[in-house]
Amino acid sequence: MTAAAPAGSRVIHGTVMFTDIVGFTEFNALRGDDEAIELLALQESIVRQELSGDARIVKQLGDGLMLWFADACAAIEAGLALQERFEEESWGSDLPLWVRIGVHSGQQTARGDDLLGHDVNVAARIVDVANSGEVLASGPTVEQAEAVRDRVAFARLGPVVMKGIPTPVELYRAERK
Amino acid sequence: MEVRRFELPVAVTLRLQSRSGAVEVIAEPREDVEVEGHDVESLLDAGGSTLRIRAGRGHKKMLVRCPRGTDVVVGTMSGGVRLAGDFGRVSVTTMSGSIEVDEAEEVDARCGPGEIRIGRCAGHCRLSTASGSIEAREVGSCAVQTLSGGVRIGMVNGKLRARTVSGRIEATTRGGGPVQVQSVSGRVRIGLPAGVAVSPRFKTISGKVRSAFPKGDDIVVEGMTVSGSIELVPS
Repeated sequence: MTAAAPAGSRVIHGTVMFTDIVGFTEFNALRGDDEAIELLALQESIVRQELSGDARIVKQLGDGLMLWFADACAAIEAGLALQERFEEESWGSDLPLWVRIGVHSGQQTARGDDLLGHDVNVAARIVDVANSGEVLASGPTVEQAEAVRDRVAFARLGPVVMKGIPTPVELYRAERK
Repeated sequence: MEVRRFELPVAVTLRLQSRSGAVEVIAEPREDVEVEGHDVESLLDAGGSTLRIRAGRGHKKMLVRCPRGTDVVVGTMSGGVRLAGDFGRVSVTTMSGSIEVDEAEEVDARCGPGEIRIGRCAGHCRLSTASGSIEAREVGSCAVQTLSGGVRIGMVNGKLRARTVSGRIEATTRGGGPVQVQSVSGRVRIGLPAGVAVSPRFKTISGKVRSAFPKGDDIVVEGMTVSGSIELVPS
């Protein structure tokens, strides 16, 4: 589980998820800070309801969240459940909770509560490729998601060439069967 | 210019990647695949079902000729992608290049500031852009998203789902499926067949929603806008 790491940090393995609210800046400009904060709070509330086990919110990033899961299957299931909840809320309320989600499994370096490293950067790039309402997962995540294949389909998108990432990343769109 | 030919025993999926150079794929009546370009590597997977073609950093343009109906997956950073002819399933992702597809069974095309042009897609068409424009002549069903780019869909035969932050969306549908549109501040104008009755479910905060159709059950239209406009007009 752990390997050599600089003092004050430790290497872990798991799945990182990034969420990002599409159109948040425009919504904030149109509706003001109070409603924008309400939108952020709604996202976080739903995420907290859907997380279980070892999964946790690592940190907030403007209009998005960084999450960590010990298990790739749990991350995929949570991502799809989150999108279903976001869509319900988006139509049920006046808040455009249009969220895109990117997931990548690999090695992370834990430093305090934060996570760093190349695989974290890859996950952050994946969410940039996702459309709102989508869960995009990398090849390594899909390889570890064998246990959900009876109920989740992975449509291949990749290879995707991303800025700052030397090797193209195989991407898949996760969908309920 | 190096040219390589692949005599393929079965239909293959082409998987092409290029960081900055352009990619052109031509689907035409032929049995083999021909790859042309400098600094281009080709590799047939062990199973023989996927031909991987990868351009090095030095290449400027890759030209691939393949049989009609071939499935193609392309990923580029900034290189433009053009698919000429008729293809099977197509997936193209580019960070800043443009995308052009003549005809395909299914399309997933996504880009940042680049433009997307689709001729005809018989099945489902998933299109997204950040700030570039999207134009499609005719699609089966369609899910389209834009941040600030303009979108124009000539004809949708089935379900239409459109989402815009501030870009303008114009689409015409035959009414073969439900319509679902969402906007933050962008304008959405949907053309429906004249004479149909619409089951509207609209929500807005400070935007405008207008339907020129009588209420009924022919087509379900769901719309939500924060401050933009949604307009249903006869096509």
